[in-house]
Amino acid sequence: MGPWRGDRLSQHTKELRFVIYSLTPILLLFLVFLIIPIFWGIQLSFFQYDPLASSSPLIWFDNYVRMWKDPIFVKSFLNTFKYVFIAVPANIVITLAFAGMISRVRSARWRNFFRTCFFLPAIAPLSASALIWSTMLRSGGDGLFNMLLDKMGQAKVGWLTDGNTAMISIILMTLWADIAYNIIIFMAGLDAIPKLFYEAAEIDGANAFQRFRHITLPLLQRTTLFVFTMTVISYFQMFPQFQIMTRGGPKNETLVMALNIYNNAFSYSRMGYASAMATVLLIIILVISLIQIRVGRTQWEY
Amino acid sequence: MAGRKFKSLKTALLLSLALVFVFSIVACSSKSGQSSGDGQVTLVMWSHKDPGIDEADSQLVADFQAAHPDIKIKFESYPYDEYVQKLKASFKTSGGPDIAEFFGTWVAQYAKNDLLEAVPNGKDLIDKYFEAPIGGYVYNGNVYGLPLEYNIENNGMLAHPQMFKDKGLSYPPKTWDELVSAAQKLTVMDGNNLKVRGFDFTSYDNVTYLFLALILQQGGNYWGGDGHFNFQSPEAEKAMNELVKLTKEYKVADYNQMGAELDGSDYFYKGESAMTYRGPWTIPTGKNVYNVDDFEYVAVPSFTSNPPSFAAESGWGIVVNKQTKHKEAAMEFLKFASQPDNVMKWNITTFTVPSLKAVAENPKYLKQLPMMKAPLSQLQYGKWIGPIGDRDFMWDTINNEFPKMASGEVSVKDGLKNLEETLNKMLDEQK
Amino acid sequence: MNIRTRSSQIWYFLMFGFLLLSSFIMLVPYLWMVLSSLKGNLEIIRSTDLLPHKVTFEGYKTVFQDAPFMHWLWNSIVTSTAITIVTVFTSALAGYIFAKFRFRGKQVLFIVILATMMIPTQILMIPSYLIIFKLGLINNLLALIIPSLISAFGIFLARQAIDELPYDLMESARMDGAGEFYTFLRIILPLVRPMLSALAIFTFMAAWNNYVWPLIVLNDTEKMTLPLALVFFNGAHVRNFNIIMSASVLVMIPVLVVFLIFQKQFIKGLSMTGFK
Repeated sequence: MGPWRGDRLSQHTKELRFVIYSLTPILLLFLVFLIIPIFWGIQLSFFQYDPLASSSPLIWFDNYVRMWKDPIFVKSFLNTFKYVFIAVPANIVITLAFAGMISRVRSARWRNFFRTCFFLPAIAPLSASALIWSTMLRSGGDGLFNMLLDKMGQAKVGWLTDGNTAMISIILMTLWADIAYNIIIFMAGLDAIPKLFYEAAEIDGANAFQRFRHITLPLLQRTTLFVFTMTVISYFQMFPQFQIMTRGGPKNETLVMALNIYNNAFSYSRMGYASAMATVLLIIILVISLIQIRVGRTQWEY
Repeated sequence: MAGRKFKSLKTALLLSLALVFVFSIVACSSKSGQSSGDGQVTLVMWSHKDPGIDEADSQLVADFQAAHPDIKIKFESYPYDEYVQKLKASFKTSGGPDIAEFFGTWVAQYAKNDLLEAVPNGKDLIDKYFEAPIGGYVYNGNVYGLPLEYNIENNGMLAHPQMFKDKGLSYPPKTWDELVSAAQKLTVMDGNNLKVRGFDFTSYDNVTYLFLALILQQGGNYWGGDGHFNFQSPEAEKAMNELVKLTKEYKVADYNQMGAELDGSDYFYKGESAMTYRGPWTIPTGKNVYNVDDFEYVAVPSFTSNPPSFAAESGWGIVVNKQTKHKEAAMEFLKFASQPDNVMKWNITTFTVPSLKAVAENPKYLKQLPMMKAPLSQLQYGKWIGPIGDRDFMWDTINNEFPKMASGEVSVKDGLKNLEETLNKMLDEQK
Repeated sequence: MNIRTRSSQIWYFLMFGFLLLSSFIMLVPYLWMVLSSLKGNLEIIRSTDLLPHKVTFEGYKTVFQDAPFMHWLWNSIVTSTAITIVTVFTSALAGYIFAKFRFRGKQVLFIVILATMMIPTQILMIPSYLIIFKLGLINNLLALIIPSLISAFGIFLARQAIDELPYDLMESARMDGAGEFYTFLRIILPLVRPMLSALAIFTFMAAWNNYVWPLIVLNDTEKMTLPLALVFFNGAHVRNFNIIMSASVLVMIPVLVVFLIFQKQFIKGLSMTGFK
């Protein structure tokens, strides 16, 4: 038992004490305000729960079985995937392209200018952006989009009232409101790639596409995966623009799971059923995130 | 070393002190204005946000306080969507209001769970009200609140007489057939888009109301025997066929316009509709927001030779929270809000149809609101819609199925069958 | 070589032009918002012209006059600032621990924290309300602050940034006999300051823009926060578009100011979050 061993022990105890003292209040807040409500919510999914009722019958998996026979749920399920499958790749392609272009701008002042312009949409509350866009997308002659079509001599379009264009219109709005973060994260990723690589490739005669394919993409993989996961997590739960711009219409073409959950929880008083749907959504997002982490880990090792 | 330790301790201390300071500011500012001494009772009243209703409620509260100096009412109103959530969250706890403004259709659900206080002499009051508005407030024979207004979306429409004149049509239409043929002639197309709708009924509320009214006017009933909906009767089929024909064949209305874009009345006031089936509560918007005066509010003729029966549901009214600590005071307010003079004032300010027969019969009301002539003439034909369970679900379901039938995606027969099954399942669940 | 430079020069100008055009397009909705806020409500619904026929400040006037605007502004500033300061601190602390310490259950804890981001908030509303009620915080501004003092995203972000720092830093601080908390406060935090300012902007924006939760847990109108102005003037059926647009402008101005102040740090912060 040399004195150094005692020191070592006390260092370990000191560290442990620090971890416990600092983490306990933080975890307590998580427990009270997030984890308990989440487990509470998941538990409700096994009941026919109405927040007003004094007792709720336990129905085990009925809510989970029932949703697959509920055409509205199935529709919202498919719509959510349609939305995520179009909007997430579009977001990533667009943000990557803009990040690439902005970081090529030679003047730092202009680079800042562009960055600010592209970031501005992100500072408005999503609900305000949705309201602004719903007035721009009005089907009459008073919406901006139709004003432009009119100037070009084209027929008006019912952007949000036509089942064929409603989802696309909302995706457009989402992209506008949301690309800022990813552009900036991608720019950071691009900045970290040594210029040397590109210069060497250029000397070897690689064209722009080849350089992108063989240098940018592989070196940006970790960033892309992070951006991809965060975007997927948030887009699966996207809600305000659907509630404000279309309320899920026309003909439920834009009814996504988050909106359907809201409707069932608050408009229809089917809190238990809504909780079951939310649990399904949680599982979907969790599985996708875990796959991402797995893919990410193999990338990391490589 | 000791100095360093001391320094980091000091930083931590300063930081926590700063936080304690912020928190205490917040906590203190939150506590002020709660106490009320000298035996005065303070009631909390909540409502949903609406400019007209806000004004009328504030007036009602002020009048009540003037008559009852010992009772103070703290009145708050919240945007509709959040109000609904707030009520559901707070009524289970003692954090809710003493008095709340409810839409009558919500009452059954709260009464069923024993969350509302029954009106002591409620049964004697029923006869003073029209059947449709009071219906929603009655549960198991008890009255759980009193309606301030008669929510009527039926049998009345906004119309532009000049448009009729321009086309040489007789105004207002006297029969359903006259209405339909006028609607066709008044419709103006712009390519594939409707520029002027002949007879616009496709707003969120009105498809369902018109559908139910057309069934009743044929002498049919949308209620089956055992408390379930029956939408497969010949009358229901004929009614739905008529609605589909109006949009699909005659193209006098647009079934895509049921979303959140604009209210049906907005298109009317913009001159994009000749006749719009909508409640009289939309009239002030036309007068005050659009500053137009070229329209009238007229009765809609019956679909058949029967009287123009229609189904209506409740309206906004006042309920008392079971958990209130000041039951007497709250009931006193409810009583005050059922006095014809006070309710009339409320109706005139909000431009709503009276729920109390005494107000409807009072000539002063019509003198103040001459546009209400048509709605008043129709009140007698209104029936209470019945225990429809979840109102929002029912409307959403019908509004979702109707465009499918109107576009031919689903046949009327199948569509009605779907509707009946879905809605009856909801009713079973609500029991 | 010459030809190549010239063609790349052309490409550069094309790209620059495209960026200018895109920036303009990104700003169009804001332009539309400001123009609409200067129109009367009727004109917004009726007119088919982009520019207002008659400029009116009615919308702004209504927001200032008919809403307790200054109260809301003050409440928003107090709550958002408190939330931002504490959240940045808790996120950095937890992120530091998850990045640099070893203890049993760390991995599981971290995944549980991340998973809290994945459930739609709508179903948490009523359980959260009941918890706030049990704590006696209904109608108290603390009900806005306390549940927001932690952020899973913030912890994730902080862990990413602190992960990059070498262990030597901590070791040498310990050699000097510095306490653990001192090491965190004086050595780690200054090194991740850009990340912290990025997190501060994210947190501030999220706290500032939330209006549904305040409406649920607060009862008195004067206690509510600024973004409520966005929905405060809507009836159940009637939307006053010019007031909404004016309110949007007014709600966004403070966030814009915060963004412009922190922008440099912020963008540097995002670049430092450890993405390669």
